[in-house]
This record gives sequence, structure tokens and C-alpha cells, in this order.
Amino acid sequence: MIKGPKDILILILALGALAVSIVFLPWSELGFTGNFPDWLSAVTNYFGVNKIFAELGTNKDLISLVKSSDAQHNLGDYAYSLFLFGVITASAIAIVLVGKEDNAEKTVLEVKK
Amino acid sequence: MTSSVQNESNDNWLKQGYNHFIDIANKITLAIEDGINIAVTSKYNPLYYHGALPQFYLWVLFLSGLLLFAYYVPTIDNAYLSNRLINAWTSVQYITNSIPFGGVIRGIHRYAGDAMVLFIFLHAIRVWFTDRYRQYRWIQWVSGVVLLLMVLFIGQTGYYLVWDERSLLLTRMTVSALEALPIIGAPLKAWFLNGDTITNLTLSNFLFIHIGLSFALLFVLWLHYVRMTRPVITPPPAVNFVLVGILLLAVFLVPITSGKMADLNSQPNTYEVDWFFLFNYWLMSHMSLAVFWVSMTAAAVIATILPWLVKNVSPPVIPAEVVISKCTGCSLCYRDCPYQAIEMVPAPAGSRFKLLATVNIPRCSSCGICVGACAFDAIDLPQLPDANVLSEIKTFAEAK
Amino acid sequence: MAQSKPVITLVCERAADLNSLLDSKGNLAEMPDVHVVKFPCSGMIQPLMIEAALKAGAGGVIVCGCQIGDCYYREGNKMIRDRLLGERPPGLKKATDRRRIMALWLSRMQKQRFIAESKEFIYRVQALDIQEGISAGNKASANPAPTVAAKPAVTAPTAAPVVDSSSTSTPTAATTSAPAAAKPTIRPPTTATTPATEKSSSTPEAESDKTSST
Ligand code: HEM
Ligand code: SF4
Ligand code: SF4
Repeated sequence: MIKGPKDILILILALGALAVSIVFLPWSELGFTGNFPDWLSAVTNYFGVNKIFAELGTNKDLISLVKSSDAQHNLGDYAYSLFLFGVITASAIAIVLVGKEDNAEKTVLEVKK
Repeated sequence: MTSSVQNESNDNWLKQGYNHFIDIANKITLAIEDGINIAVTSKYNPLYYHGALPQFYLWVLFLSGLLLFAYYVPTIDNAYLSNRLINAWTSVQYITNSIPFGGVIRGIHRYAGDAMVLFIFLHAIRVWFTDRYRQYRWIQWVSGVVLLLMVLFIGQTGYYLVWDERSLLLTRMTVSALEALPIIGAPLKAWFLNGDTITNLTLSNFLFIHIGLSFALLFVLWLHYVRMTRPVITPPPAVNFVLVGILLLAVFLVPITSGKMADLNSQPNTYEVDWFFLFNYWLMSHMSLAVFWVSMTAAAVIATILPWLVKNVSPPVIPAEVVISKCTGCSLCYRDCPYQAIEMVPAPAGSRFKLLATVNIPRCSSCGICVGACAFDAIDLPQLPDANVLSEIKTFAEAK
Repeated sequence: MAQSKPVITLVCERAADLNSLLDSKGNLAEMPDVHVVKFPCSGMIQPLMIEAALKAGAGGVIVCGCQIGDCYYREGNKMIRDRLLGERPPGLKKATDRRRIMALWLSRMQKQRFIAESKEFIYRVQALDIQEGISAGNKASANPAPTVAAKPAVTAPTAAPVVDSSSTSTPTAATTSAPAAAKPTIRPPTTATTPATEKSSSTPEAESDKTSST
């Protein structure tokens, strides 16, 4: 399985992602330091995603959209799924970048001795 | 190929129009695939795992469904009896709001269903546009249509299970649609409701259909795969991750909620349409039931027989032939044939070898992979014998 | 032109669309030394055919199938790829000169990539010819002047074993050093003719099936 530095890098990244996600799990259940909604608005505002929804015609920004639904019962769960989305998408991109084959379109044979 | 080009001038406008459409659709498909290849190389091109995508979501559905099933209670118990009521709706509420990550799991189950339908369509459209659905592949196509219909129906029963006002409305709409059918209508209605009216038994029936048909999918999938050697059913991990990521994002952005608890005495008449599963209810409310049934049936029938409606677009399949005197029974062709078209049978008496390859003609795609697999020149495509290829190669190489 | 050795291309008819690039004899109009043999699927190509081509005096063999993952017959291109790599029987014989084989996995629209890669491959193969011409000349002085670059000093039957002569220096060193030495002396005739045109419509009816005629 492990054939070179690439694979070790993947392994480290994978373990890192796993560790971070597990560490985040209880914290998310606490609503991210107990003040979850504000935490979420801070992050979404920072990246500018919050408003996008309002502009897309839902006439509510992302935070009020989430809060207005039943999801308010367990916002931590939902925030965690957003967080996991980030982790998993980032790892997918990482895997693709590492595993992408430069020579996917060409096979040159190695010379046998 | 040349012959079909010549024939086209004699064909009617429908056929010409169709061929033209497929031609353009095919080019667009190829262009999209090329674009993705440039971005992520063929190794991660999801379109090259088109069949594996719905299959992956099926596993997600089984797993998340199992977790929901653990807490789901299929009853419609009366809303007025007690305030510690246990029925389908309250159990779903309980899952959503009280169980850790229950809402997320419910969301994953819902959106995995939607995504599965989406990717089934993508898969079906790709095999259609790239001409991978006819002739020796008809079993895959026809079982595919059955799979699609089953998945749609399973999804709809999922919507009944929540037992909110939408569920009630959908159930009533289904009942009236069934009643409109001649002869089979009444028994179908009785089967659907598990009785004459909506009772607790109705919901257990819905649950049974939902889960039972889901397992029946596995059987139809077996039919779908049976003629394909080594079907590609698992996308690479990176693609899986993205598929899960899509779900998690959707779960967060649009949390799943139930409507009000269904009340048999109420008459709900509006509902939110899930375009992946409930489009036929939308159709139903926009046309007469007769038109609805006729058009639905027609669509299903046309989809099923599409492989036979389209003909003469590519040359006929001329199956591979085994040269009995040369075959050593090594089974290499049998292992490599992509459509399970080769069977190894006992060699005729007096042969030096134990086995003999035979071609199962209706399955053969005329691809020649078996020719590439055979080191003994014992299997050949009649239209392109390898001896001819070899002499063409030699003629050119030696001419210089 | 006659000096350079022929190159055989074994191509799946659904992969890179070469039809518009062919002349009436099934050679690439731009590079008449390259002969194209079409197959219904690259999976039909036998390692035997590649060996036969090299044995008969071809300078190199190009195998071309669809993008890996996109085989119309599901697995054909993976099969031939694995066979070439020795991961699936039947494979190439040990003595086969693997430097003279290249496989491309190109979609229908990628004919420009095919042309570009083929040109590069031909450079490489011609450099090998020079190498082998020189080393063969050194060993057996019976050979005509080694200065005539690409003249096939190596006769067909010995083509494969000759690999040994160059392997006195390591094979990789030979391949990498060779092009540098070769480039100034020979310009492959191919580049001199025309830059690759998008649609060389010179032979629009090249569609006609060349492969089955012998
Ligand atoms: C539950 C839904 C479905 C799943 C999980 C599924 C999965 C698959 C898989 C894994 C393959 C093998 C691909 C390969 O290895 O080459 C395949 C092939 C195929 N599928 Fe589906 N499929 C589904 C629905 C459909 C539908 C709705 C259609 C069309 C109406 C369809 C038509 C086909 C055809 C024609 C092939 C053969 C393609 C070939 O031979 O290259 N499938 N499917
Ligand atoms: S040509 Fe050979 S490998 Fe291809 S489907 Fe027919 S029997 Fe199988
Ligand atoms: S690969 Fe050739 S020799 Fe082996 S079983 Fe098939 S036809 Fe017979």
C-alpha cells in the first residue's frame, strides 16, 4: 500500500483530518463554545457567504435561513456537518492533486534488463 | 459506418432528426468529458464512473436508512389521545430533534435519495448519448429502466412515511389515481392502503414497501450487472468524498423538516414538490388522470423499447469465432471478455485439451478483446481476422 | 524520407479520430512513414502484433486507445495497457525493445495531441536507430558507413537482440543522451512539411475501412 513519500503524505493528511474531525465533534455538540450562532455568523460573514443567499432571492441570509428552520434545535449538528463538508472536500481536492496522474494519457514502457 | 451514412438520405425525418440530435448530444458529452479530464485527469473523472455514482449513494441510503429505521414507528395513532403520543410523525420529530445527529442523518438520507435519482439520470443519459445501450446491452438498459421506476417509487413511499400533511395529501392523491384505473384499480388501492382506508396498517405497508423494494433493488441490480464482467461499482475515494461532501453541504444549507402532523380530518391541499421524486404528483395535479396514466405508461414503454426503436446506426454485431483446432482451453479470453460472452465448455472427445472456448452469440459485442487475449490465434473476428492485420503490418513495415 | 523506418500505429477506431488525417493508403498524410491500422477496440491488439511489426522492420509501434475509463467496450484499453505493462497475460516477449513502443489514451477529439506525441515518439525512435546504427557499426565493421544516420543498419531478424549492444551503457542513459546528439543532425522530414493543421481536409473520404484490406 505505502510505496513512497506521496502515500505517507496522504496517510498523515488523512489521520490529521480524522483527528481534527473527532476533536471537533464534542465541541460542535456544545455549540462551539456555547455561543454557536454567533460563531457561525462570524465565519460566514468573514468569507462573505452569508449574504449570498439573500442576494440569490431567498431574501434571508444564510444564518437566518438556518435559524428559522427546525434546525435551531441542534445547530451544533448542522454546523458539524458543514465543518465535515469542508474537511472532506478539502481532502478530496488534496487526494486529486496528489494522485492525479501526469501521464494519464500516455504509457511508456520501462526497459527491462 | 459508411453504409449507415448512405442510408440516412432515404430515412424519414424522424429518424434523421433523432440521429442529428444524438450526434450533437454525443459531441457535447465528449466535450464535457474532455474538459473534466483536463481538470482532474481520467483517473478522477466522475463521468467515467457513471454507474458507480448511484451505486455509491445506494450504500449511503442503506446505512442512513438503517439508523432511521431504528427509531421509526410506523403508526398513525390518533393525535387527540395523549400528549406523549408515539406515532410516525412524532418518531420522525424525535429522530430529527433529539437524537444526536438524527437531523443530519435524516438529511443525508433525503439528499442521498435525491442525488441518487440525479445520478441515475446522468448515468442513463450518458449511456444513451454515447450509444452504449443497445444490442448486446439491452438487458442492462431494460433492467435500468426498471431500476429507475423502482427508485422513484421507493422515494415516494419515503415521503409517505414522514406522515405530515404532505404525506397525507400524497397518499390521497395516489389513492384517487389508482381508483381511476380500470379493473386493476380497486385491488391496487386495497394493496396500497393495506385495507379500505388509511389505518395503522397503511403505514406498516408503506414501510414494508419502502424497505422491501429497496432490497429488491439489489436483485434487479444483479440482473443489471450479470452480463458485465467486473462492473465498475466503486468510484475512487476522492470521488466518494465529493459525493459525501455534496450531501453534507445540502444537509446544512437546507435542513430537513416535517410539515404539520397529518390529521385525517383535515384537507391539506398544498405541498412542497421535491422535483426528484414528486414530479409525477405535480403532473397529476395539472392534467386529467386519464391523460396522466396514458402519458406515464407511454413514457415508460418508450424508454423500455428505445434500444429496438433505434436501428441501423452502427454496423451489425458480428460475433467472434473460435477456431476449434487451435484453442488450448487456456481461459484467457473467458477472463477478459467484458460481456461474459465466452463460456468454457469441455473439449470434444479426442482433444488434447480439457476445455474449449465457445462464444455465446447474443452476448457478444464484437469488440475483439478476446482476440487480444488469445496467444494462440484461436479466436477471431470474422470481419477482421488477425492474420489480415498481421500481414498488413508486415507489408508496410517491410516495404521500406 | 525513405531513410526513416516505418512506424505502425494500432488504433481503436473510437479513440482519437484520425480519419481526417489519413491518406488513401491508410498512412498519415502528414507523416507518410506512419501507417495506421484501425481496430474496433484497442483491447483487440495482441502483443504479438507489436512484436511482429518490430520484427518486420518497423522503427516503432504506437498503440492508441480511448481515455482510460472510457472504453466503449468497458475494459479494452485497460486490458492492452496491462498487457503492455506485463501485468496481464499475454504480454510482450522479454527481448522486445520496449523503447520502441508507446501507448496513448486519447479521446475522440484529441487528434492534435496524437500528432504531437507521435512526432516526439518518432524523434526518439530515430535517435535509437542512430544509436544502434553506430554501435552496430562499431561492433561489426561490415556495416556500411555509420554516418548515414537513419539507414536501417539493423536488419529485421536482429532488431530485437540488438538491444543488448546498446545496453553496455545503461539503456536509460542511451535514450536520454541520444536525442541531444541526434537533434542537430537529423530533422525528421515530418516537421518540415506542414504544421499540424486543424482539419487537413485533403482526404475526407478516408473513412473507408482500410484495416481489412491486405
Ligand atoms: C439504481 C440505479 C442504477 C445503478 C446503480 C446502475 C449501475 C450501473 C453500473 C455499475 C454499470 C456498469 C458500468 C460499467 O462497469 O461499465 C451500469 C451499466 C449500465 N447501465 Fe446502469 N445503473 C442504474 C440505473 C440505470 C438506468 C436507469 C439505466 C438506463 C435506463 C441504466 C443503463 C445501463 C446500461 C445500458 C449499462 C451498460 C453500459 C455498458 O455496457 O457500457 N442503468 N449501470
Ligand atoms: S468479441 Fe470476444 S471479448 Fe468481445 S464480447 Fe465478443 S466474445 Fe467477448
Ligand atoms: S484464449 Fe484462445 S486458446 Fe485460450 S481459451 Fe480462449 S480461444 Fe482458447
